[in-house]
Amino acid sequence: MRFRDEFPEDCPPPEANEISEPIIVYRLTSKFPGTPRDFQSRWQRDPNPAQFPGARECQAKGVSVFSNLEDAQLALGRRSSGGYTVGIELREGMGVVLQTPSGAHDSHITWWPSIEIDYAEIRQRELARMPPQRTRRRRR
Amino acid sequence: MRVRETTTLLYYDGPRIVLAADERGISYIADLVSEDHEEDQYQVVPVDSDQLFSYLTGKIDLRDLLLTAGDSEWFLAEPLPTPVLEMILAPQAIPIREAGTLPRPGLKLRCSPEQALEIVRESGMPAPRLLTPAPGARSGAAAG
Repeated sequence: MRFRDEFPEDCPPPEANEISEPIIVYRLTSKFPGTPRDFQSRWQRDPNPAQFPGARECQAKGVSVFSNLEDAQLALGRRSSGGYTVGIELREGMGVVLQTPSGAHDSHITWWPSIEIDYAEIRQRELARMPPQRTRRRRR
Repeated sequence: MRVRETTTLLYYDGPRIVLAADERGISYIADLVSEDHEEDQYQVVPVDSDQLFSYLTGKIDLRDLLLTAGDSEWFLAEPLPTPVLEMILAPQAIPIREAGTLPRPGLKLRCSPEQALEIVRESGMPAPRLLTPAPGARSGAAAG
């Protein structure tokens, strides 16, 4: 499988699984339907190797999705810019995935998309919308 | 003061809410306040095991945790280029409630008491007093 990024050694991790049958996962988007930009990895948005040394580079080149809607809702709630929670269908050929739970969110999955994806063809379903929150960024 | 991540509590395209500790063993909650295309910046408050346990089990939300734990001191911090997330804390003079960075109300985690206790223990903190039976109390009281 070919990926859209160049990966370091052992990335995606050997235990990651190629998507072989459709799975529904949840992702946050800025619009509905989500645009290709909404499916960019952190690395694609900010390709700065110094910011993601070591194992963090592989993580940063993956895309976060949740298998549990409640976990996605919580992540959406923390985004001050608001946005949408969408259900998306990942199908064969769209990349590899690995369960990567964080301390309080067992359902986090890292998805390393294949280069062949046509983002316009990703099936999406709007599940929730959150308005922007009025906050300001602090300067030290 | 430098802190190092001990547990990621919420990861979404990067660590969003993390538990961290300093060299003295004091624990902190760090909450990402920046958005896409900005440098990462976290608001950080010291937490004790009771506050952390209450947050993990959904008894209080993130906003309440930050307000309570950050009442006497809180910090802003940006990540260092280290393999494990580390940050230098910069003390803030204005109260956290006036900083404009608090999350919206209602963001509660839903860890089981057992899961929450494990996170507290892994962070090196003492067991929450909430779980310590009062003197003379019967043993076997349910956690949480």
